[in-house]
Amino acid sequence: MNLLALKRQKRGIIFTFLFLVVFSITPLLAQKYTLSGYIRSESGETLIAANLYIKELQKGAIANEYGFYSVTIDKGVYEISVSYLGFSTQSIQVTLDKNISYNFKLKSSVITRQEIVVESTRPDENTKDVGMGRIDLDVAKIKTLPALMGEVDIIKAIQLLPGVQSAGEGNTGFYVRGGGPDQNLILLDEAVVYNAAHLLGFFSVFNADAINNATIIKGGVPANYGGRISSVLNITMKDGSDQEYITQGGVGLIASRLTTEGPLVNGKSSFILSGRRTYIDVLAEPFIPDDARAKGSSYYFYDLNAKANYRISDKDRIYWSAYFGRDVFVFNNQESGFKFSVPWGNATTTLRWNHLFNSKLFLNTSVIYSDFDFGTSVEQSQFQFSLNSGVKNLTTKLDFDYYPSLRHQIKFGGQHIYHVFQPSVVQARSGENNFELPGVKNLFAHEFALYINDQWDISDAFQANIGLRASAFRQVGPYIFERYADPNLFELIERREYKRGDRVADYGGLEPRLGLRYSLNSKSSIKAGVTRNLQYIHLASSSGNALPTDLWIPSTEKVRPQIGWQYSLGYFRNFDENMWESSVEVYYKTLENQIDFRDGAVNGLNSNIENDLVFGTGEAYGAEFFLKKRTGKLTGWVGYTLAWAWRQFPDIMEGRRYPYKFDRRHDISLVASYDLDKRWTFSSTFVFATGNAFTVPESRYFIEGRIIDQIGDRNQYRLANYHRMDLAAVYTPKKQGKRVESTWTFAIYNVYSRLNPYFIYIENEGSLQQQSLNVQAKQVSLFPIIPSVTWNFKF
Amino acid sequence: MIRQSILYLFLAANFIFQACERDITLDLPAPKPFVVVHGQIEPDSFAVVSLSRNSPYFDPVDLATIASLVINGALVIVSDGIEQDTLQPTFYFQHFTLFNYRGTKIKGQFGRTYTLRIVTANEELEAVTTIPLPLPLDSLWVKSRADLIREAGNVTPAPRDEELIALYFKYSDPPELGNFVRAFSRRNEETLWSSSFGSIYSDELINGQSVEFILQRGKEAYLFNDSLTFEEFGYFEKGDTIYIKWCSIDRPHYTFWNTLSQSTGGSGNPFATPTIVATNIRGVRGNGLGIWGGYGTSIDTFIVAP
Repeated sequence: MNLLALKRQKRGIIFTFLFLVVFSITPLLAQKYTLSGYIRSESGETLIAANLYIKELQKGAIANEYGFYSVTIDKGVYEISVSYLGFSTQSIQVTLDKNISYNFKLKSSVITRQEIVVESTRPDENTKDVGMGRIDLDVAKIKTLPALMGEVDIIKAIQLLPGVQSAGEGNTGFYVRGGGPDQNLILLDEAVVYNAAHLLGFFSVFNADAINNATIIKGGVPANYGGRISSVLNITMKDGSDQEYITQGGVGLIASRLTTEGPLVNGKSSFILSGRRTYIDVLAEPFIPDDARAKGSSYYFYDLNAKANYRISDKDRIYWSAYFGRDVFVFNNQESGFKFSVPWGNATTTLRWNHLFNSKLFLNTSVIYSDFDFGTSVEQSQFQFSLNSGVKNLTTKLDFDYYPSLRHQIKFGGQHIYHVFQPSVVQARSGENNFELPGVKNLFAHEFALYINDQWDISDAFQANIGLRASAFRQVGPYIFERYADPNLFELIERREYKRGDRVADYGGLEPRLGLRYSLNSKSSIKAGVTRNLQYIHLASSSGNALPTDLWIPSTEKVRPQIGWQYSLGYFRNFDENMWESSVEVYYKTLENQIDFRDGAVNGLNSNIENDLVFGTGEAYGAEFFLKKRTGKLTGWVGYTLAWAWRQFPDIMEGRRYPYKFDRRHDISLVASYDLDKRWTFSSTFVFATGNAFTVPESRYFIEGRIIDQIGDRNQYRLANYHRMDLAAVYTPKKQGKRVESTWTFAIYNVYSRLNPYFIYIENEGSLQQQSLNVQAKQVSLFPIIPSVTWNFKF
Repeated sequence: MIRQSILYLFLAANFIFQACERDITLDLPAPKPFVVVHGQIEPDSFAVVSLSRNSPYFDPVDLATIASLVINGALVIVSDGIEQDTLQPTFYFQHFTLFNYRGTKIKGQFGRTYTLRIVTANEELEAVTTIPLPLPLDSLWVKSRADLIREAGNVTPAPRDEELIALYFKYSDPPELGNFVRAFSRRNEETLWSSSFGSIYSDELINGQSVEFILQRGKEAYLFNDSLTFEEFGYFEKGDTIYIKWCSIDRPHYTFWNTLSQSTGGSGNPFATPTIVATNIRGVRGNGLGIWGGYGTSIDTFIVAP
């Protein structure tokens, strides 16, 4: 799209915006007043998207990401109740005869265990909220679920939801409704986390102790989010208590955690610092003899989270938050002097300023830096080889929340992202000589977006979420464009070189987002949604398993932006006074400009990874069934997903359609949690999933006495079905002394020790020279039954 | 108490990281038939071609099976653009390949292009290759494994390490990008040229520069000698007379060997889609796999002091 068309689009958006503003101001002519303020916990923690309910009007509102709410209603006396996941509901009586500012402070109901009945969200949110496929996770609840080796993992809890799939055994890579792993926008305090996995994907980078809130949106993504086409996982770090100093931590099977938080200025400013590190390397070190061949080899990972905020006035608040995490793997062979080291990890930092213009207009301004780095270096005597890759961005954002009346919640804003990609930089040294791959090391791009989104109560029964996002992307030099005549890159037919700052390619487009909800009665509703999303960055993944070696690349002259359309329709119904929630959703999704490696691509040195890519489309559809018990001693849910996901590339398999690697016909999750008494909580999860698709060799041939596989069609075979049950018990003993609180979590992963397939490989037994060779397929399973104990403390 | 529990935790962690595996059966359909071509042409030599078929994946392998895959009676023609040479049946073993067709008229020349045409009862295949100009080595020298261990400086070498010899080479790459090499070695009385795992080189990283590197002893040499240990792999020995065949090859020829080594060496990632071995064999009728490759050969000899 050219820039002129883009300008025209921008003008269109401004008109739409003005129209909405004028339209929504009209009702102000009646005698109305505004009740506004913040919803926080007792300790000052922001309660994101807390629910506010006006009994007399039978209408609700939702706080924004910073806990701010605003409702403009007729003069009168109202009973207002505010509720939030894991907190006791609070109700107040308000006489609204002028604009009133009121801050709610909710009491936690999980941690103190004062009440057995946990009031979570607004009881009828399931049927009344216009948003489809948006789920808020209760971090405190997740902590009571069984976890692999006792490491509480938010992403693994998300994988238990319908429509969200895991990559495989113990893996934190997740796939939403047939989309790729790069199509999930993973945000930590608004900063993009490019690779959310530690240790080959077994653990995620999110330390649950530092997390306040996690929300996943798998469909009907509102216009304030953009840049990815499948889903949004929005994770917010805790602000820290502004009342008292709290230190908490835990000792687990593989890692330990320590978090400290407290006020910097009482009631005005707080901080939190949190760290986690694995310690197998530290424990093993003293037991390895000095002359062991592999002495000096080790593996560990760690995460550090830090956040601080300062409330300058009722109208202004600033936040700073940061994350730094690394995986470090070193392999050392003392005898040969061979040393191999692979460090990788993410770093993010976010600076935010909240400003309240008046009781109806809220602004957040953010400056965000985010970075993912991967390095490999190999050393042996005079040789040295290193490979580095990474991606970073600097984002500036303006996000407005405007609450003209109770019928409208308007969000609008804009952002600019400066992207820097380092697909792979190879350096080698042999004695005195240094070598580098020719070509361009870093790729640069700018991404812009403007959006407006209105959540509009058209009538009591009919609600709409209307949004429009306009985005644009510009790749700037340096860049080398190469085109080959044949798929094996034998003959170069075109080559163009761009200098630093040269304009290389422009892309852009409109991203309409529409969601509708129609209430059939007080217990049930029908919802429908259609969204178009554009994504300008891509993950060139050879594994699909969220390995750190996967490369992020921008859209370029050759690689076009991904386009996703999603249509969804659902029926939602609550039972037994909202004790039970149920829903059925169907979706259909198309994906354009998907990338994959061409047949015969070789992983390794390549100065221009684009030349190894081919381009195609994807299609996904399915149905999701969800039944949840919200309240009572026993809570939990059952989710079932029936799904299909396809890919089609002109240059793969002569253009025939093939199943996506994570095409999964059936996916079942069962989650149950039972609060026995103040001391004990029991929980269990069960998952069943159709086996992952994979590619096998179909025949073989001999060249120079070596056996060569002739590879069959892609993803035509299935691993065995995956199923597993986990159990956990959380014990909270009586307080030791006055201050120390502690809990013990006993968990069993894979209770019946099902040997689930991790991968299969083919082994040749014997040899050609012995004139007999047997070929055998083998299935590798990773985790048998694994008990774990974690001790958590807080004082 | 705490110390003890940490020890238990550690023992449990050890237990966890042991993966288990078991045999499974994959039910594969009958494979699509391919003609597998392995042909080569070198300066001052006639072209040689081996023709065989692919076989079902899980069929047992023995010499009788391999023999049954050989294609005899095909029409195999090499052309240099002027002349044609119809290859004759033969029985010639080199490069660990039994070549069953050999030319009688056209001998390879540096810088020329050769077309291969194969006709069987059901297939007709074509391929083109060149013999690039030679890219000779600058120099060769050796270091003992014992010296290498001493350089690393952590461990004392064993007596046997004094006997094992690493062969080094220096190579200067021409200024233009796109030079590729495949290397072979043999020693003493051996008649077969063999190549090691890292026997192919591209100048993508070192273009126009000089490089010094180790040339490993060909790995096929080990197929017939079980007494060599892992530590001895890739080394020559004191007193050896080493012959190096250093061949420049064109890009398709390099790509074939490069993808082949990826597919057999395994990229170490069991989740990745397996590497498909590239081919320059084009099926006019039916399907072909393999390589028709020219070698721009230069040969060096190095005698290691006893």
